[in-house]
Amino acid sequence: MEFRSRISRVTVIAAVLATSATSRATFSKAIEPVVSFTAVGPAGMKIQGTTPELDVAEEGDRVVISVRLDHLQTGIGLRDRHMKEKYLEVGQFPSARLSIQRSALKIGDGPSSGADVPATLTLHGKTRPVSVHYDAKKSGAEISVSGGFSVKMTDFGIAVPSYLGVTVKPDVDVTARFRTTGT
Amino acid sequence: MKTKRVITRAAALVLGLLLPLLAASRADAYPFMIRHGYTGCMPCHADPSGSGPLTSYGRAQSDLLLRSRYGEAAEEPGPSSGLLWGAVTLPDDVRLGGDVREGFLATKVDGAATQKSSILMRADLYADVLWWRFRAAGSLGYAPVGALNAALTRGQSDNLVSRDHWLGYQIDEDGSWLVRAGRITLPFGIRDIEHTLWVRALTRTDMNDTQQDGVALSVSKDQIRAEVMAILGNYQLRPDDFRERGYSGYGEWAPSTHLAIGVSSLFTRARRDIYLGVTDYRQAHGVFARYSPGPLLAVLAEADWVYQSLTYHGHLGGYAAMVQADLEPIQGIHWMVTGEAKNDGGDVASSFGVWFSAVWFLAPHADVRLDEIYQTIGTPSGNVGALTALLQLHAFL
Repeated sequence: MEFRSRISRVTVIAAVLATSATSRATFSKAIEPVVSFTAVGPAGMKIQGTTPELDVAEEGDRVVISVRLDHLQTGIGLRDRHMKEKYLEVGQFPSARLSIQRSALKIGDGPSSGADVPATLTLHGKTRPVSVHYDAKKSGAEISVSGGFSVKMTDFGIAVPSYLGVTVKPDVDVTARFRTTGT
Repeated sequence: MKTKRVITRAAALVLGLLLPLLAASRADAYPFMIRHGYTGCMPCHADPSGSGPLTSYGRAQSDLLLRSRYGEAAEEPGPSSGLLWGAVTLPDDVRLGGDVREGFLATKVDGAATQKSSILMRADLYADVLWWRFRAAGSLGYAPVGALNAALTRGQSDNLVSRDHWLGYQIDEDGSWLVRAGRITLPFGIRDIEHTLWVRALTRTDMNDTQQDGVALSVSKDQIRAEVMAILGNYQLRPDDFRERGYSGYGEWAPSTHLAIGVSSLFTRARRDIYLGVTDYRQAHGVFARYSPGPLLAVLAEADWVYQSLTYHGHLGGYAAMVQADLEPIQGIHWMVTGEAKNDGGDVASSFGVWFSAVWFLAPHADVRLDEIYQTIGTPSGNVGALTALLQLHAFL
């Protein structure tokens, strides 16, 4: 099954946490989250997978976004099974976690703000630094967040998927969006 | 002027009424696979623009996604997905196959008796071999009627045919860039299996027998899929006066895995057009799109402008267009509605048609198809109605 995850920019967490530089906000559960990844195969073949399972939490001075991987879907059942069982091994590693220093996140009232922030991604049992781009827009109490990052799946010990002569490239783009409310 | 009217009538009659009776079908191409996120053809097909031998991956997808499943959803492609229903195992670099398609046709034209016939629409073997980056591919078949432009023998019927045969070189490692030379299906528009659709017939870009010899360069990378071909002529046609020279090509952009938009262009010149018998500068330019809002539905559309400049015989400017909706309520069963229109140019009214089609991929390597086609065909003396029923039984190796 061809699935190749290279996570590059995850911004959603950053946007949620950084409601302001000075106040210590708390965030509600993510609303209508969508996490998607795009992997590329040979000759322009593109695989997109999505999951709505994203959680946001604060752990000390860091914002942590967790994505459960066992409900990732690409539209083809056999491919999903290979992706989750053979490559991501969700039985052992059920979630991906992105951790960002809250102080690095800036969200203010008014027009959308965005930036690139350093983050730490834990995937398939390995932790690596990644650079995340986020965009966030605060409207009243609600914050709309979107962002993404790129990842090379082999950096996380994930074998490069190959199936019947079709091999997926190891680089994967991940994007996410959701809404939350902050206090 | 009188000669022009004669030519126009002949063209309208041949293209509008007789082609469905003469045509034999070619290998399969299913652009509706965009419903599964497949915007490109190469993962499944040896031909970068679709049709032709299936790759191992393509055979697996055919078994997993195309045919009816009875009982549990497939965990893996069945062993019958392989060549000859799994009886033969080949290396991935050797792609062999074959097609048999039998059609039962009934056509009723206004003012004429119903014509019934059975046609062996296709009986071809084909192969595609990869050695390092070099490719060699070809097909060989038998056509009891039709496919004269692909005939290797010289009879009016019962001919050996070779629709494709070419040598190629994969410029990059994964074959995203491929250069080919030989007899190749013209890159233009949507590579439909319904080769008698007017967008295919009027542009002469079907998979049946309008292949040409030439050199083609294709690319399938990221969001782009494209192929351009220098047409050197159909060397299975004699004499040389009938051979067209020019170019044909398309470019397609897929901004998402469920939407693809493209443009096509073709220009040829023949000293004697095979149908019109005069020097013909022929061109066709058009747009096409494929879209799938969800797995249930795939929509295909194409519109082409066609222009023929006939030396000393005026010109014919026309168009052909089609829209097809493919509904797959249960895996393996397709209900399709296709609307089409055309105008051949000259003093001919426009033609309109609607197809109601049902296809059932009932078993590994096998499908059955029923088409009901209602057409009102423009002729110099007015529109003529035609009703066609076509039942097809198809199996591939």
